[in-house]
Amino acid sequence: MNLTGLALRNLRRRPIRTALSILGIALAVGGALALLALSRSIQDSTRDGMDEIGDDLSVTQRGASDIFGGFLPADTEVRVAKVAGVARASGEMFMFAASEKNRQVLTLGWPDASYLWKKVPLREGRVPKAGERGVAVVGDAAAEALAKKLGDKVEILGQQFTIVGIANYKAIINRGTVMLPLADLQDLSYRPNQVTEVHVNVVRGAKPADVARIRRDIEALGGLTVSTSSEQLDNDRNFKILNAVSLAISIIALAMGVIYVLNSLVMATQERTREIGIVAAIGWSDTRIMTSIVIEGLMMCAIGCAFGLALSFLAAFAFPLIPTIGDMISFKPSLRLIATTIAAAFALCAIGALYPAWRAVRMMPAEALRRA
Amino acid sequence: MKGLLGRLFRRKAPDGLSTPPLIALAGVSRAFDDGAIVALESVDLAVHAGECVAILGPSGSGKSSIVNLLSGIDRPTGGRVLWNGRWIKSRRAWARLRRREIGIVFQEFNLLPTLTARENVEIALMGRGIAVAERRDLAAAALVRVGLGHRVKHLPYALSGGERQRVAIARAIVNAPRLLLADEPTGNLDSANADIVADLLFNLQRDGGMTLVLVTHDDDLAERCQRCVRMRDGKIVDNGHARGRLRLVEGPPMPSEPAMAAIDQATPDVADIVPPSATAAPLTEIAPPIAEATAAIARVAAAFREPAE
Repeated sequence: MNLTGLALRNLRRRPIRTALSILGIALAVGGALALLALSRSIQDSTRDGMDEIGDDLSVTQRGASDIFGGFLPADTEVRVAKVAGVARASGEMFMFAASEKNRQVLTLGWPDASYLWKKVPLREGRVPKAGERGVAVVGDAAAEALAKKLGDKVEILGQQFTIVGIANYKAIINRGTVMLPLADLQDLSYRPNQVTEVHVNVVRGAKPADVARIRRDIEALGGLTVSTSSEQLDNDRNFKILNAVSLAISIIALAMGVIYVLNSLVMATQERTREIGIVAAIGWSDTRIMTSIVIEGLMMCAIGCAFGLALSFLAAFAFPLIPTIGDMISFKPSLRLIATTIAAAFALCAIGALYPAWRAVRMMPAEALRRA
Repeated sequence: MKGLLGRLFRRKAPDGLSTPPLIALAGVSRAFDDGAIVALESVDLAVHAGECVAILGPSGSGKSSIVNLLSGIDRPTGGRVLWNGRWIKSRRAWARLRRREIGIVFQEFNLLPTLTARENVEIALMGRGIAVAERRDLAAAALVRVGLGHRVKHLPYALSGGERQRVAIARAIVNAPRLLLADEPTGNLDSANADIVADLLFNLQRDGGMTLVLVTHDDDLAERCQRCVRMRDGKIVDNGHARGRLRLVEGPPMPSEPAMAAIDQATPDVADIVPPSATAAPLTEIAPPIAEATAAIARVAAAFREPAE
């Protein structure tokens, strides 16, 4: 018999209440983990997609609040390409566009001569020829979601495009895209001669100092911001809001879990006032009594965290099945995120257990024995 | 207070050695509800090592309050509780004493319902740095000592009242305490079990050399103690030397009932003879007032004897 065994015995005395408390913690931890992982995975998927396309740097409109919010003149591509140290540059327009089956697909528009076309990992078909219009290359996930194959028509913003190629990107966000000639997308979006950003590859072997100089030179062209994919996403307003909301909801979820623990332990200690009086009367110190109660709380937390973790992995399988977001994210809770969430849950549960523990020892043993 | 403590704790122990009492109450009061209910009022009591003391009194006289204060599970609203002459104030110090030096037996057994008999005993050893296996052995040995070696794995609900109380006694003695406090230990038991439990307590006290303070309202049980302290309305009305005083009257036989009534009227009350500060005094120190009372008793008794003869 030790404190852990005693705590376990106490938890088993009220199995339904203990199970409900554990379920509450599991839902809180699972919910928090799922939310945080979801927001992170959207950001990570976007970063993976940008990296897969092959950017060293991205040039956007200075002051644009998010990656969709800025526009540049199409000739920015030419001006950037002339900067010393820039190997190649390509303009790109992108937006979420209405497609078939009530779906919004991420639609990219690239100039005819863009090096980005050459880097498309085609599973089948081809990329648009120079000057060709009304054709599209779709990612394999998008093709599957829209039930399209090579040669089919796909509707983008009400206009039909013939699928001439199916791409086989690795990043989940790229697998769900539709790629059009830039001119088509400019027409569809009523933004002729504009791009959303310019992709830049620097010369091979460029040192960090060279890259810094290239960034300065491009920004000196006026009205431009140069950033890496990570910097771009970290400064993106939408991602900031998404992360903040996820964090806030996660904290609320964990707080609810703590309240479950608190409620359960307050009730347990109230019911066991006499027993607490007994162990105090036989010489248990306040610290030992408090420790035994906190251990009860932490045991519930540990079991709840295990179930919560399992729930979050179940969610990992469920998220890709959600039509509106499933083809944009890959749900991958990182070890660091799991450790942080569980550590936060344990810390909060310990704090939640301390209050009933403190309540339990503040009265004299004789009073505890009288009250019961 | 200092003078009172001095008088109380420089006295000689029953063995004649000048040692402080094992435990003592010095001017202790205990009130509840902001003083509306007074359970104890300026009580002085000294219990020396090895003594067997019964505390007798009707319900509500403050007997249990005394046990609560002697064990430190309650805090006095006035006065001091001293262990070996040291004023014990902190909860931590009291918890440490209860863990090592004081065992308590309650009327209601107070066993933890989810633990077996052995585990109920074992929890009294937790926090003493004793290995789990050794704790288990010590607990089992204590149960054997109270005659429950065959019931170690039983939960309290599966034990009879007497067996539960014996588990509680095993829990109280497993730490080999110097002071064993028993608050109405037979109060919830039938007479057969009460006898078993009482015998067990007195045997443990005698064989183990423990100090036993027994709260009871059973005169027969109290008679088995060396000393009997009587309480009424939160005060000690007889510090336990009354039987000793009566034994000083030698020779004539006990007076008849009418004679006793007359003696009662003719002699001052014990509390008037012995000042409150000397309630626990050995006989040598309170001899003059006792001699005075004895003389008065003898005079009245003689007066009643003469006509009879």
